[in-house]
Amino acid sequence: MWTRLRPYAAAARSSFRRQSTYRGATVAGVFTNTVFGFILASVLRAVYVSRGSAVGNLDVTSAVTFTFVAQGLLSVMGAFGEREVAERVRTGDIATDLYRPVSFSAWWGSIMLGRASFSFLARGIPPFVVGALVFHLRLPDRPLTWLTFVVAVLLGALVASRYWLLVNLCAFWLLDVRGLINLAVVVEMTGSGFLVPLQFITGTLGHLLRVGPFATMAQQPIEVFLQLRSGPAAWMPQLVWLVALEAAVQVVLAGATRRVVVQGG
Amino acid sequence: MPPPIIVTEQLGKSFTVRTKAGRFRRTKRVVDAVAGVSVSIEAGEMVGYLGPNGAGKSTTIKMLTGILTPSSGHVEVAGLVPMRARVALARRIGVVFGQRSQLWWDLPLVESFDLLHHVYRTDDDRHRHNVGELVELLDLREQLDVPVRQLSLGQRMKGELVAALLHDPRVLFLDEPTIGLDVVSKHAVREGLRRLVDERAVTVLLTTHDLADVEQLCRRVVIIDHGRVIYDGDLDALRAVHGRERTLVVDLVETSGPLSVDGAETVRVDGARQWLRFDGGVTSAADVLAAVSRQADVRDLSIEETDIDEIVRRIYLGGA
Amino acid sequence: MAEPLDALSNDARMVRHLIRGRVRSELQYRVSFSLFLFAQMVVTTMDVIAIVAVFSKVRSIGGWSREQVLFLYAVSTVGFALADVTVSSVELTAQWVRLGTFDRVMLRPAGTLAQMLGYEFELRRVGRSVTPLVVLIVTARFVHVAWTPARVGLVLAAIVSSALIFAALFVITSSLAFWIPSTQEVANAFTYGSNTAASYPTHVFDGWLRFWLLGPVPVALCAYAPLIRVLGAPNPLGLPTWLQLAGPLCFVPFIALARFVWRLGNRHYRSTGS
Repeated sequence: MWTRLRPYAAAARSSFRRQSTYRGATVAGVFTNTVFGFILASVLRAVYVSRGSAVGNLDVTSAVTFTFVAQGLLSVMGAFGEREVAERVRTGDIATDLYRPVSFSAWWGSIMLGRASFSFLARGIPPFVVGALVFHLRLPDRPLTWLTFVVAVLLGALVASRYWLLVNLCAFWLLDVRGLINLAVVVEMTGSGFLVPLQFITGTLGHLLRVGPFATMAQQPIEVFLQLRSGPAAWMPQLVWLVALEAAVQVVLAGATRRVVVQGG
Repeated sequence: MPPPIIVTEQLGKSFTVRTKAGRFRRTKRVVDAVAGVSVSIEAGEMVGYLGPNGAGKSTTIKMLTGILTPSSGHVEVAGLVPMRARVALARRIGVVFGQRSQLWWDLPLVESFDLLHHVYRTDDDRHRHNVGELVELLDLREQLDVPVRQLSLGQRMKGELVAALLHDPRVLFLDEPTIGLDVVSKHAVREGLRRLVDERAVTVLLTTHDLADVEQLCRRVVIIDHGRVIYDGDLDALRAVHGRERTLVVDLVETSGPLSVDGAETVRVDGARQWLRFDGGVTSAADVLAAVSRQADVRDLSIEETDIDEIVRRIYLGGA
Repeated sequence: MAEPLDALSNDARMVRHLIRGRVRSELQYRVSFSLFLFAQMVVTTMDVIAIVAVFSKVRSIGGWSREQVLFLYAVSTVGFALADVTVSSVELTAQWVRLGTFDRVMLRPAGTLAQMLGYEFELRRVGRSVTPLVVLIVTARFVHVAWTPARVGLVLAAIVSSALIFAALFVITSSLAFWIPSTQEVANAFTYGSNTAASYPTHVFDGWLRFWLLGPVPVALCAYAPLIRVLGAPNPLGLPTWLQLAGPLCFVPFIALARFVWRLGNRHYRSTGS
């Protein structure tokens, strides 16, 4: 059984390694994330000063911590937009991917996971560390939380990869998928709590977002980190959405493959 | 007599290269890309500027065109000092880089010409006349509406030539204009260049490491190696002394000892392949081949011309 | 040395023509153009969503009401969008220097900065200005200000000044490419980061950030300062009246700095080559 997983492990490993070669870009990314972390944390702090009380289950320290963890997760969840698959559709290279004797969905999932792992380590941790030096951040006091957090991030990354795969696969039907990707970025950023913690979004919209797929990418893992979420609530929603989105991917993929065959590759 | 249009006096350029020496240390090393180049070119001349790779050709051109400031020495082009009068000089020269395009990639060729019209602020009538004439000369009429990225390399090079001449420059610098082109395209570009030079009074400095480029177009060549000029004179004279040698490479059906042929010297044997060197001015390749065929069966053959590296080597060995 | 004013007017004329040519070919692809405009409108709404979401839980931030913060965001961001449309093609400098394409710029009879502005001008970037413009116009009614010509003038000065500061920032961050290879993301942190920070009242930030916004990259003086006066908004930092009125003039030294850094970069490029 493990031998069947080997190509995916290899894909993830090479993707990880490829990301690690972009040293300049990584450092620059850390810088950007740190700067925006500072800006957004300052704004939130001012909000709390004005409000004087917690927002939902988020007090000021949690909110500031939220900001820095979120900045660290941005590139892990592909929040800036994944375009590689769409680009391959455009150039036609996608045909080789579809005819490989491995699961297309698992293949690209592995590649994105490799990238995400590197991003988590190289771009996720430093901004948090810098933030911790300046702001008062809340760290988990239960050792198990760290493990649950990593698992939650992993699951969230998997859900995110399904999302981006779905968006990119639309390139089979749309001539120019760039606009869609921009829209997808906005939807993910807003819905996952990257823009503002979902506690700040009120009404029906807030409700929908909190149970939606995007919340699994940032909001929920961060709540695990803040120890506001534990037990089954920490992984159940993510698992459910992972299964649902994977099913959607398979359906779309079948349609896409048929389209490739019809068009002659 | 009017002053030379290009004059350099002891022109030099040194770069500081930082290299890693060991894990953490970095040493600095000064590299003289160009050292003491003194050249004088009259208006209307067509000069070939040759040298092996890394000899300092591109660096010289960059200093002549104002892209690079010299470390030492003196240079004047079209009456201007490039370092001090970049903008004014740009108006008087045209440059074609073989490896880099000056055209707009996504736009049709003619639109690149239009944009350049605005960049150079040439007179409207003059521009129209030039476009018409140059396009005709280089046979580019069909390509005018094609986006540059869809053009073949040869067509693109011709487009670059037109672009470089639209503003009636006094000097045309060509840096490796035929690099990467196939034989047919090379010929087409050289032909086009020949026609252009015949029609217009423009000084041309052609940098290349392909001798054939220079053969058809230039009378005078300047050879540079390791940043220094090692020959400056007539191409024919150079050829006469160093460059008429050709080598016939034959693949024999059966391995044999070194062939002995009149008028040629067998310089190398490798299995069934033999290299026969002969003087192209005295013996013809056909004669050598005939002589070889009389002694052994030839399965395949090719002819090598003297290349610039060989000429440079000989200049060092024998003096020019 | 050529007369500088002459060179400037030549460059201006060239840029005008280049832009006209670029726009003409851009508008040939109507669908792609509109889609991109729409996409930019969508992306820029994120900032507004963030502000509105945050204000759903409080009545004020640092004493400033939601309308006041939205107005500040709009003034600063319209300025940023203007700078983006006109100047952001200079960001290609990093790539061109790396590939050696910048030689082409050196070989043409015009200022290098003017060329960078004209060659790859994209009108479609104007899509970034739609959302903040709409917010500006809508919020103008809700900030309870009697719009006198003087006040409108100050707001326009704030917008123009912000645009000029951001334009200068684009040029400075792009100039860094002459010395250090590809620093696009770092440049973005400065340009987009400054815009985000300038969208909120400066007294919300402290320490380094506050200093940065008031001094080195004085976006605060462009919009925040004059809007204190126009909107009658709280002034916890105690910015004096003269600063509120003259703040928009802060672009002058900054533009000079941008020009200086760009020229320095050019000189460095010409001495070290590509």
